[in-house]
Amino acid sequence: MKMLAVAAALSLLPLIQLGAQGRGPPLRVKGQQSLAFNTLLPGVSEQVPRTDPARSGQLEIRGAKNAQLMIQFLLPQEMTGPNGAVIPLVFGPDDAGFATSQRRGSQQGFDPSAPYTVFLPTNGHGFVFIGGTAQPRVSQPAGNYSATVTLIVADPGT
Amino acid sequence: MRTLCKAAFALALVAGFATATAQAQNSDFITARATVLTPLAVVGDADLDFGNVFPGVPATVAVTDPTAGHFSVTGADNAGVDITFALPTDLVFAANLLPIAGWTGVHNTTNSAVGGTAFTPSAAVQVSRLSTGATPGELYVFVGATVNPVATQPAGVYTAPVTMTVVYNGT
Repeated sequence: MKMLAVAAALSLLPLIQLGAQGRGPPLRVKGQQSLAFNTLLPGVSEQVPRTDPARSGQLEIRGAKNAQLMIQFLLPQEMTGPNGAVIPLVFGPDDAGFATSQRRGSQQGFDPSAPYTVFLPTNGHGFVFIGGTAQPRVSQPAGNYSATVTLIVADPGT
Repeated sequence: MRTLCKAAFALALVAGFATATAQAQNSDFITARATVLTPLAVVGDADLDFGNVFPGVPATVAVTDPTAGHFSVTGADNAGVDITFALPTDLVFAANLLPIAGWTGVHNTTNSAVGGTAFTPSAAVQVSRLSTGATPGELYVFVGATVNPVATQPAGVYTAPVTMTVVYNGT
C-alpha cells in the first residue's frame, strides 16, 4: 500500500512538468540594446525616453504563444565610473514599455520599479524597453560610467 | 498509512510545481552607460583693479584695460554654458563704503577683450559657448566697472569679491 501510494505520487511529477513545458518553447530573455546616455555634461541631467530608438534599452522575450508572463527589472541606483565615482540614475513610473513588436510607438508603458504582467502574442515574441534619467553632479569626474539593468521574466504557470 | 500517503503526495506535488516554476523563468541584462565630459574649471586670474582713486572723482576700468578683471574657463570643447555674476554694490574698507556700478563685460573664446561679445555682468544668465577645435574648450571673460568715491571718501584700500559662476547648459 505504502509503495503504491508513493509510486502514485511520484508518477504525477512528469505530468506536472509536462504541464508547464507543454505550453511551448522555453522562456528566453535576451538583452539587445544598451541604455545609452552617450555623452553627459557635469551638472546637466539627461533623460532617455523609452521610445528613443537609438538610446533606450531593449530586451527581447521569447516564449509560448499567448503566454502570460510576469516581468521584473532589477534597477541600478547609479552608474559607476573612474575611481568609484557614481552618477545617480532615476527611473520614473513610465520609463519602461512593453510591445509585441520592435516598433517603439506601440509600447504599453509601465513602472520598471514594480512587477508587471504581460501577454505574449501568438508568435511568442515580446519586447521590453527602458529609459531613465542620469543626474551627473557639477563636479562629476570625466570618464566612462556604466551599470547593469537586469530583467527577470517568469511564467507564473496560470 | 493514510497520513503517510497524503504526505508523499503533497511532497511530490510541491516538488513538481517548484521544478516547473524554476524552468519557466529566465533573465538577462543590458548595460546602462554614459561618458562624462570634462568638468568646467573657472579661474579668476586677474583682479579688477582701479588703482589709486581720488575722493570725488569717479574712476572707470574698461574691459580692454590691462587692469580689467579676468576669468579663464576651460571645459568640454564647444559646450554651451550659462554665466552669472554675484556683484558687490560697494567696495569696503573698514566701515567705509566705496560705491561701484556700471558693470561691463566681454566674453571671448580667445584671450582678448577685443572682438569678443559684450554683455552686462549681473545675476541674470549670460549664454556663451566654449571654443571649438581645442581640448579642452576655452572661454575668457573680462570685467570692468566704475567706482564713485565721494568727496569725503576716507583713504584706504577698498575691496570686495566679484564672483562669476559658469555651468553647462546642455547645448
